[in-house]
Amino acid sequence: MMAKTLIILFFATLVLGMPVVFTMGVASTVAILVDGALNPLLIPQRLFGGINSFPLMAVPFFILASELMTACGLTAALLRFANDLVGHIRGGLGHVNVLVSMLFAGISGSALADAAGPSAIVMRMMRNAGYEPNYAGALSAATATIGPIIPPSILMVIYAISDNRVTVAGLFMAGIVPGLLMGLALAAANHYVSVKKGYRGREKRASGSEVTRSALAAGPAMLMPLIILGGILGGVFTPTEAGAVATAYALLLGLAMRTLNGSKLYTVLVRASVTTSSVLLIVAMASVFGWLLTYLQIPQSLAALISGATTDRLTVLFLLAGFALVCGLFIDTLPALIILTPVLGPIALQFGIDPLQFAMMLVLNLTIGMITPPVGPVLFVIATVGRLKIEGLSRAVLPLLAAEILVLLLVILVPDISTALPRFFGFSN
Amino acid sequence: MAQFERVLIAVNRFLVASSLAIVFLIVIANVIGRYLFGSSLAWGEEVARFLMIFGVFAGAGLALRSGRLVEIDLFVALLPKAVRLTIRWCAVVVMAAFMGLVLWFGIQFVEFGWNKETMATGISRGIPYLAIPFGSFLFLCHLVLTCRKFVAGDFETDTHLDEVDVQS
Amino acid sequence: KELKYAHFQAADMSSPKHAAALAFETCVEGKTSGSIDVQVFPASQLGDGGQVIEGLQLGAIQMGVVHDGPISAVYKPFAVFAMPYLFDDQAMAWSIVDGAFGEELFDDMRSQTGIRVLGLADNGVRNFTNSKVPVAEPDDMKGLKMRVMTAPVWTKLVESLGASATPVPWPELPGALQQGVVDGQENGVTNIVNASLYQHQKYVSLDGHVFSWHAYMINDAFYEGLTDAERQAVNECVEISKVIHRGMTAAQDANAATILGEKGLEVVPVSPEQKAKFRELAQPAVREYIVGEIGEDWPNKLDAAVADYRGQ
Ligand code: NA
Ligand code: NA
Repeated sequence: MMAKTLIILFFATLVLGMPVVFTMGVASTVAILVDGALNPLLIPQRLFGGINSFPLMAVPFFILASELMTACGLTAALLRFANDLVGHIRGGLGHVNVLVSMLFAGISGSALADAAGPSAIVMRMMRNAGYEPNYAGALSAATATIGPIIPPSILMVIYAISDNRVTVAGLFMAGIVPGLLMGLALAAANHYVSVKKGYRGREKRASGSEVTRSALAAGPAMLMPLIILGGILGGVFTPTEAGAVATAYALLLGLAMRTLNGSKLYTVLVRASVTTSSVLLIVAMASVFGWLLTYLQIPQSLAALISGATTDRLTVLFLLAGFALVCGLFIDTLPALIILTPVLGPIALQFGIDPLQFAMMLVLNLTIGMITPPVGPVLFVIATVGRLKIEGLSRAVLPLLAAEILVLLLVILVPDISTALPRFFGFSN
Repeated sequence: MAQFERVLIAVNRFLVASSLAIVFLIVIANVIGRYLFGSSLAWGEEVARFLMIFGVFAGAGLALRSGRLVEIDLFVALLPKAVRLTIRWCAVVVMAAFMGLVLWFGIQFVEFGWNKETMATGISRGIPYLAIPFGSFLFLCHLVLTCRKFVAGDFETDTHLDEVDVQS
Repeated sequence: KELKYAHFQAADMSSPKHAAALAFETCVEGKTSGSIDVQVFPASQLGDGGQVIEGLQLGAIQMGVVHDGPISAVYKPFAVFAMPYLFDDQAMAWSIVDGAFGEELFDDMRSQTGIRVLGLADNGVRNFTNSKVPVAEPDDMKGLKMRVMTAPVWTKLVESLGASATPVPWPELPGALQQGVVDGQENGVTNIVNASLYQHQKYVSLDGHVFSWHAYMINDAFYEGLTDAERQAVNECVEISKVIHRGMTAAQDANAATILGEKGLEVVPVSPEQKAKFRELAQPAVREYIVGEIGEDWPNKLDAAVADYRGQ
């Protein structure tokens, strides 16, 4: 009875356009009140407990750091550098879009930040240069999903909290190769589309001195991922502290370059805290919802179903991936991650799948879900910013989606893609 | 009313921005302290954590206002306008009822935690728990003031990045 | 009747808590012919220690096996067990917590919190590990950055021995050791092995500073609502769980040198004379702190219980 109320209400409120945060909260509250056996004080208890975690503090820091970078004009510098480097190749601005997303991914922890920021800018540039608006939007959406794969990554911070067999630092290492592969695959897809549609690069190639100049201007921004990763690997600080150090670095740069003043800083702080709030509210609500699911033993029975279906490791991995992909179509990335990790993780463990490989599989899966209709948050942001229809955008995103799924398949078939680098740095079990 | 709304927004923004700033200062002070003086503030981790939680709940109303609470309006968009507006109003009522309950249970939860202590600082646990009723109260204020805009889907958009002309 | 049972160790039979939990499930369901349905939630599925205690008080969870730290946040006198270098061996510790002292403490806790302690089992004898120097006596601790649990009593303990204390929450501990944010930590053998804490450590000093506990706790209203036969079944089955849990943990503690040696740690023996030095530095400082927190009553009673046991 309680389980039915919980699940039916969750999907009903979701379909009726209730903000996703509330779908989980409302379903859980009604289920608890209707059933009557559980003390409703569980709701505030789980809301608080769900985000009462020090590692989670990396989330506001990475959001703050990337907002500061943009406010200092360093994101724009990254864009200029990417354009000078690859703007002249066929489908040039498309490649700029890919490259700038990869560079920005080293600063920001989230796809939404990239979609609303640099990706949206390149989208406008592409449209001015004669790219089909839908393709420009689709590419911007697809490249934005590199953000949470290349470290730092908010998704991975939250993943590590849901699964104590992996560390944030280990996950960050694991994301580097899949993130680069994702960039390559999208660049290849962009090349293919550009040849077919006749998109050209810009007329003149940037001269050596121009590239050097824009590289120097973008240098401080490109140093950021090195500080974060180097600091974590060198044992200087924990991932949470790395977020704070990245923020301090961006702050010092802004002050040194005199591109930051008091009122700008205040605006950045307000924006970053409101973004943090919308992200972590989802974590809090999902923790009420996820607790009830566990309490009702729903994940446990599902796990029994999957592990009863087969004994082959690879088949299990594909089953899990397929299941996660379907969930990603209908549930938002973050709640899906929080709900699925404790459900599917133990199955992966049971079949001897490396926890880092499994984590990469799940995170990739769910980031791909960010650009798949019906529930693709990045697609929504791009549609809103670019005033595009979801239908047209969804069609244009198909070849790019294919490229990303290819990377996902590689990650499933070749464990080393996710595990070799962390192993090299001593981050495996 | 408009005056009240302006003050509410300004105060709310100040609260979330300053708690984030303090969280940042505490964590960075602990990193510096550990390297320069070989010790860190024992209470730092806990206080930073509680302030972050405070900011999360206190920012809920602002997130609603700026349309940051993601929703899936794909199916609703297919419906005729009158039905759509009815559904949106229902959503407002459900959100208000839910946050009202969170406020109510939140207050009881503060009472429940009042005679317990936190691990590091030993303050009453009811104090950090105040974030929940306080945040849901703020949220309800914002919801009442902006429900028309929410129904119409007319959110206060953020200022976007400065346009960059990289072709030049 | 449903009995939701929460604990924090991994769901495999080498975890003492899980082995004990499964034994409890089989035992209670057998003895009550299924009138109590036990559901075990391992690996923090229902929340961390503090949250499970809240869940016990809210009646959402009926039974939980929680370590000492979060308990003293709800019931302060439990911190008396943090007194360092107090018990000589497990037999002494068990006899005292199973005896009159334990009974009096748990009665007081029940009347104040609504949580009934059914018994204590070992969370292991805590030892120091680190990646820098072999620590044989307090002087060797100087300059080490030790991770401590996030309660001030542990900071006091480590600082009284001359090391610097960095509070790190349990989930961040493996990362902090791996990355060298801290040089060392202190835990029982079971925790060191289960959480792979040995991976980035070189030395372990078998100083056995604190006997730490896992409490078997039940919501008292739920317990009182059981029939006499059901209550008896729960009591008897907890005794079985305690034997399994204590046996497995104590066996690992007894073989600490072998087990940790095999994991690649250099085992530094601590002689009785050296241990006395540790005690002289740590006990007065920590005792003063504990007395400041909970008064003299419980520490005195514990001392009396120790003296009693030695006198027998
Ligand atoms: Na990133
Ligand atoms: Na992009």
